[in-house]
Amino acid sequence: MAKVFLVDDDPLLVRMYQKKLETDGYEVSTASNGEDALSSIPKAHPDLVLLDVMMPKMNGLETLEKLKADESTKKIPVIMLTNVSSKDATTDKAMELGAATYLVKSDYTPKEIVQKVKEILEAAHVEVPEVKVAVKDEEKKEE
Amino acid sequence: MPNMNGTRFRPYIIPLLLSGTVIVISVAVALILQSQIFSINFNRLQTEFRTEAEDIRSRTQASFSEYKSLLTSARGLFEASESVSRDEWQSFVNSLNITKDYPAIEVIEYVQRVQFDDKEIFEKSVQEDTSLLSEGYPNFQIIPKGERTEYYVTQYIEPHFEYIDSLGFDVYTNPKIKSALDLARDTNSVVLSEPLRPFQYQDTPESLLMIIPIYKNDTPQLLLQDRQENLSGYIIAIINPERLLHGVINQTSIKHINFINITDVTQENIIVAERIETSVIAHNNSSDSEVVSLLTINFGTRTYEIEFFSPDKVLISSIERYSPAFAIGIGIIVSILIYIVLLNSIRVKSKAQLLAEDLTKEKSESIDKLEQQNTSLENLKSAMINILDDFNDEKEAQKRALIETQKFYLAVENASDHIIITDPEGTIIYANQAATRTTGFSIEEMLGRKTSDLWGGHMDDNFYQDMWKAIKTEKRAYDGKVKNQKKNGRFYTAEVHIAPVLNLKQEIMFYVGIERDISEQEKINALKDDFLSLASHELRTPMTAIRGITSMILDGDYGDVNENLREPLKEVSSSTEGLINLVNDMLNVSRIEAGRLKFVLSTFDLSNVIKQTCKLLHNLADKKGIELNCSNVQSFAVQADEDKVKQILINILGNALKFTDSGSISLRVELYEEHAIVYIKDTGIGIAPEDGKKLFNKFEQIENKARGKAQGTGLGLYLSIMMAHKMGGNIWLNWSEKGKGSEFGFSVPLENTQAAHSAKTIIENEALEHPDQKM
Repeated sequence: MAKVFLVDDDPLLVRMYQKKLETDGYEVSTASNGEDALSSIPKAHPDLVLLDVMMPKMNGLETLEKLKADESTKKIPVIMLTNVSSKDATTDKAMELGAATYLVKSDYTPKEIVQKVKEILEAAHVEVPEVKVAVKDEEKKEE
Repeated sequence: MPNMNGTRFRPYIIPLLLSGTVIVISVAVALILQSQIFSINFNRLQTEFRTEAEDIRSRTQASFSEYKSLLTSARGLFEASESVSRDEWQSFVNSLNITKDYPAIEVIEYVQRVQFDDKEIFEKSVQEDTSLLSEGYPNFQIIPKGERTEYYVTQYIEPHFEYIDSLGFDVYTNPKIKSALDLARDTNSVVLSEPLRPFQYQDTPESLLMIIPIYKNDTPQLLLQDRQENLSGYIIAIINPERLLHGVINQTSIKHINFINITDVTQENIIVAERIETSVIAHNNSSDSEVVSLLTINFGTRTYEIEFFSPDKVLISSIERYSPAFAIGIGIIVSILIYIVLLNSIRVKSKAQLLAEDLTKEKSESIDKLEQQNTSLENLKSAMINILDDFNDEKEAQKRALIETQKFYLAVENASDHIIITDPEGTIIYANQAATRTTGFSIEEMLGRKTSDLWGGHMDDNFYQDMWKAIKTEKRAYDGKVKNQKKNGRFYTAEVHIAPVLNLKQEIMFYVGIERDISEQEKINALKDDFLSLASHELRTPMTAIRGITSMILDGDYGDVNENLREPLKEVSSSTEGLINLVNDMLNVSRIEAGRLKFVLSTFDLSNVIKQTCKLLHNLADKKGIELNCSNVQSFAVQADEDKVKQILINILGNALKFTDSGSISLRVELYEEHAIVYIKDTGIGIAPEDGKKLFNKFEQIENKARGKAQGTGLGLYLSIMMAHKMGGNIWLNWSEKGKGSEFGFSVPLENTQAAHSAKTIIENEALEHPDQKM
């Protein structure tokens, strides 16, 4: 079963994404800040990390940098999640540090986020669960 | 014939009588002339003097306001901290540069309110105050001595050593000062006293006190009772009235000044008095009459009447003074001449009369002559009046021109914007006071130098090339935003407007540059943007949850959904989406207004972007059954931010789709001068002409009666046009007819054009200025 590690400081969003991922057949572990995530991820061996940018204690960019610096975690694909407006210097920085992609939470429904997760896992040749409902064309979200 | 005998002597009598009449008439004429000349001269003098007095009045009023703001800033010192020490006060006063900037202030002092019970502690604290003098003030005590319920003691005084004797003086013991202090306290305003002697000695000259009350920090001052209770002291500026007025008066034109009448105006609405009376006081020596002008100046709750006495030499200059005499002289000479002429002609004529006995005819002839002479005398008189009038008119015109020039000068000099005039090479030949205020350089330092040696030269070369190209080569005005450096090294952002002034041959005579410091405004915009960024993040998190969870419920992730709930849940979802869009648009509007929206310029094929946008919206168009026609688009290489162009096209096309129920939307591109223009035409509901103008306003939504409430955030077109402008293009409503449809135009600069180049310079400068720009 594909394992996803979700890091976000907002409990409501954690519950929401966790519910969606689990409904779609993923195994989900969570952390509410960068520090906790860094200590749990090496043990949890996830196939993918969903990482929020603005968090207390250690923010997403720092966490990403540390994950990518550690031999045991550097190969895990990371999707950066944010709600800070649109693209800015942070986006570039995250991509530079090796994030798989960068998504603005308010622009996507949970279903679309899971679709992105699926795409990235497929590209990394990880076996992904069959989703019950077919995912619609999401071109209109490009804007 | 006895009659005939009688008439023999008449030839001598008639000329005598006639010429007598003539003399009387001409003397009368001369007198009229004199009086007219006098009154013309007097009126002119009066007007000149009155203009001058009026000018003085406005300048006095202006300098009163300057002094008033000085006091307000001094009060700020006390409001800023719990207590102000003697040396803090001294360094504050020194920093004000009073002798130079406020020459009429002789003394500025701080008066502390002391209760009877605290008197001894207070005296002791001053005696031991060694912040300025190492020995303190061992002899300090409140003067005059005696027990009073409270004292208003001069605690700090500047210039310190000259007035050290007045430390401790209880100003409340002077009834005139007391009434001014009470008024200031009760009204919480700056009050100007009547003329009075401000110190404990009686031999000092009369001065005006300008007083501002200070209340204890963080106490209420709303009610009269609060103000009386919470007063802690006063700042008093002692103003020398002569120097105040001499500062604003051209020294030569006023001999002396009297403050004659001070009335307290208690009514709430004081009409600014504009009464200026001018009168002439005739001295015994009549040639030396004196003009006195009485004018009223309002300050605070007081009205001052001031008498100005003109100096002797301004009076009637010698020619003007003697011109009435000159007129009398001419009158007399003319009448003597007439007398001789008449006498001669009548003598000759009388012989003929005797011989021809046609006396009547002769008589009538001489009367005719007399009348003729009289007429020519009248002509002479009017000619003289005309000459004198011309003389006066010319002087009047000159005077008027001078007054006009002065008006302009004063307006420019006192304008709140920084204004400079340079020669065609850029050397400063004039700078107003605001230029000193914004840059910190004195007028002397600026004159004869170039702005690049003073505050300028901090932008990149492109900026200055563009600017000089506009104002020198193209001879047109240049508007822009510039970063300059003050004398103290601090940078400031200013909006500049530089215009060449051309002569009739279209040669540049000089440049006028107007600058406005907008650093504060920029800071506020940046703060606003930071706040909005944070707020939008905080808003977006719960909105993401609402939208996400709703979509999951609809997808059945939480179990089966009751069919009745599907519609309302969809509504929740779409209104949350609307909210998210509103927050995004608001953030972008704030960013673009603060210059913090990042533009990444590149050269690309406009038709590609159009095709991509159409592809995005095809589904939506198909759903509504509208034909979206984008195939007729040629390729054009433009310079712009590709994402922003796409965003603008989505916006315009989105609107077209929203307001079109059937028919088609078609796009075409045309070239016009330096731009490629995309025309987006729909067959929708159309826009009424009166709405066309409002279309691009912020938060403007056109009322749509057929559909009820307008949709969208009302920011889309505003944001689009702002972005188009920034990239050197524009958006406009090209055509529209109610019920038939509309056509919008959207222009983008072609690559390698002037328009593209200018937009690039502006965007690059903005990026330098705001390194934290966001896309």
